[in-house]
Amino acid sequence: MNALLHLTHDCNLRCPYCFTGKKFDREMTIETAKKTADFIIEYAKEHGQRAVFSFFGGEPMMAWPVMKELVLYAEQAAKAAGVVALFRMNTNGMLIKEDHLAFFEEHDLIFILSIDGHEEMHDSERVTEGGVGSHAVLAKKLPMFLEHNPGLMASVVITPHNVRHTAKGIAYLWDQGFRFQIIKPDVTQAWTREAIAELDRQYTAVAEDYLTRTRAGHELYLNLLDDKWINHAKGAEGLSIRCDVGSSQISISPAGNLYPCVRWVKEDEEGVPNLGNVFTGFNPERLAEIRAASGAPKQPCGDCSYNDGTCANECACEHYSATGRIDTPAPALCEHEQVIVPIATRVGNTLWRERNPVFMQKLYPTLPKLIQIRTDRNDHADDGANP
Amino acid sequence: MKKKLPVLSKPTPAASQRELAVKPVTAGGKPEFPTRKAMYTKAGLIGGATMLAGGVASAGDAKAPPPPPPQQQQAAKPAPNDKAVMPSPETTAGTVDGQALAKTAPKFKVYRDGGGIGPAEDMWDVAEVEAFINWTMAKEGKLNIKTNYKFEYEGVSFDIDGFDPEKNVGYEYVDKLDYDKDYFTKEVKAKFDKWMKEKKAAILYLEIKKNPDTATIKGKVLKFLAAVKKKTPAAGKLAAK
Repeated sequence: MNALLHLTHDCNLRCPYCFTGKKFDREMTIETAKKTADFIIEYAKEHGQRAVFSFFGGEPMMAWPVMKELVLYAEQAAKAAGVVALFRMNTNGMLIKEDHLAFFEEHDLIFILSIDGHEEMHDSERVTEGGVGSHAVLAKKLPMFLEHNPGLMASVVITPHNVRHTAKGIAYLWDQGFRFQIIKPDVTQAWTREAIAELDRQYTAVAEDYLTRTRAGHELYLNLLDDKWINHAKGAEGLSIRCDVGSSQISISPAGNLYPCVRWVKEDEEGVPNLGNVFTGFNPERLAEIRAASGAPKQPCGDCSYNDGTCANECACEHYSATGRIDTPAPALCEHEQVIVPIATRVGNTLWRERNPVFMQKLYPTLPKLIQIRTDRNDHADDGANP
Repeated sequence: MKKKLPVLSKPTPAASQRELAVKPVTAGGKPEFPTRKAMYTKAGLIGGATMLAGGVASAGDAKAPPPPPPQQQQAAKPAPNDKAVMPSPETTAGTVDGQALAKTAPKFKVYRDGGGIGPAEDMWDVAEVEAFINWTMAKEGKLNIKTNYKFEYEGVSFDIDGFDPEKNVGYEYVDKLDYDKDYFTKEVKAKFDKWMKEKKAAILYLEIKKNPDTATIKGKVLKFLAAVKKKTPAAGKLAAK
C-alpha cells in the first residue's frame, strides 16, 4: 500500500496552483501518527504488499518531529510484522538541512523535490506568503541534495502562467545534475488556445534537448516521454503505471481520515466523503463505490485512439478537481495529451531507428543482460563462488 | 442498482477552459518500436532460447529469419559450463522441500505499483523470486533444497533461504527490499568463500541490486554451480563447531 500522509496542513510557501486546500497550523498528533503506521502495516501485511509511507502536506518538513518519530516507530513495527516499509516524501526542500539528510540516509527516506526549473520559472509560481520567490534559497541547497542523492527527482508543475519558460526551466534542471524529472501540467487552470500553442512550442524544444542529451549518452528520465514509451513497450502490462485510487494507495489527513487521493484531503470540508479513518478502518461501502467509479470508462474517451494506455487520462481525482466528475477529464488534459503524444512517438521512433543504447536499455532491459550471461559462460573469466 | 459516480455540484475549473474541448483522436500515430513481448520473441528470448549475438540488431527487422527452436540452439552451441551442471534427461532432477519439481520454473512478476505522488515503483514478491531460485538450484544442480534451513557452522547461524544439507550446497538471496542484507557482513561473506575453497560448504550469496529478473538470476546460479562442480563440498552433515 502506498499511503500518502498529510502530516500538516501548513506550508512555508503559497504556490497558487497548490491543490491541497487552505494552509493552516494543524499537525498530525503522535498518537494518530503511530495509529496510522499500525493501520498501514497491518493492511500491507494482510494484502502481501509493501508499506510505503509517502509524506505529503502542506510541507511535511514543517512537521519534522512527527515525521521523525513516525519513521522510527514504523520501521520497528514493520520489522516485527515482517513487512517491508519504505519512506518517501514530497517537499519544497526549503527546510532541509544536513542533519535531516543524514537521517534520510540512515532510514532510506527518499524525497522528490518540488522545483519549477530556473529562477524566472520557479519564482513565477513558488512564492512565500509575502510573495517572495523561493528559488534563491533552494538553489543554494541543490548541490547538497544532489550529492546526498544523485538520483534526486524533480517535480515540475506547468501552468498557463509559467508555460513560456518550460524549455529553459527543464534544461536548467538537467544542467544542475537532475536526471529524473516529472512534469505535471495543472489542468485545472484556465488554459487558452494560445497557451496550448505555447505548450506545443515548449515541449518540442524540450524533446529536441532531450534527444541531444540522450544521444550524448546521458541516461535521463522525463515522464512526458519515458512513461509513454514504457507503457507502449510493456503492452497491456504497461497499464499498471496508472492511478489506482482506493486500492493500492490511500491518502491520510492529519486527523487520521482516509481519502482516495491527496487532492481530496481538505480536512473534511466541502462535503467530500472520506473512506473511513485509521482508528475505525475503511468504510467498505464507500471504498467499493470509489473503486468501481475509478475503474469506470472515461465518458468522452471511448473511441479515442490514445485511449489504450497512451493517454494520461487515468487520474480520477484530477478529473474530479477539474470537471467535478471522476470519469470526465478536463479539456486541458485532452489538449495536453494531443500535444505530447505525437512528440513522444516521434522522439521514441528516432531513438529506436538509431538503436540508441540508452533507449534500448530502458525499454528492453533483458537483452544486454542475456548477452552478458552468454559472455560469462564462454570465457570462464571468473569461477568465483559468489558472482 | 447502478452506482452513481461522484459529482461536484458547484462550478468547476474546467468551465474556464472555454476555448478548449475534449476531442477523441481518430487516427493517432503509433510507435514504430515493438513491445517487449514482440521484441523478446523476435530476438529468440521467449521460450527458453539462448540469446544470439545478432538478436538485438535484428529484433525490429521484419525480414530477419526467425530464431531456431530452443533445443536446436542449445545443441548447436552448448555453453561449456552448462554441460557440467545440466541434468541429463534420464536423471532425476532435484527436489524442493521433498517435492518433485514442476516441469517449468515458477514465475515471478516485477510490476509497477504505487505512484500516487511521483512515478510508480517496481515491486515484486521476494517469496516468488526465491521459489524461482529454489527450482533453478534444484533443477540445474540436482539438489534437494530445503527452504529456510537452519544453518549453523563455525559461528555463523542463520535461516538460509535454500540449502541441500546432504551436499552442503545452498544460496542466500538478498535484494534492496531485504532486511537480511545487514547480517551478511564482509566477515560472513569471507567465511562463505573460505568454506568453498576448503570444500566444506558452497553458499551462493545472490544479491540483486536493482530489480530481479530470471535471466540474471539464472546466470548467477549457473555460474555458481559450475564453480561448485570444480570444488564440490564433502557430502554429509556439517559438523557443528
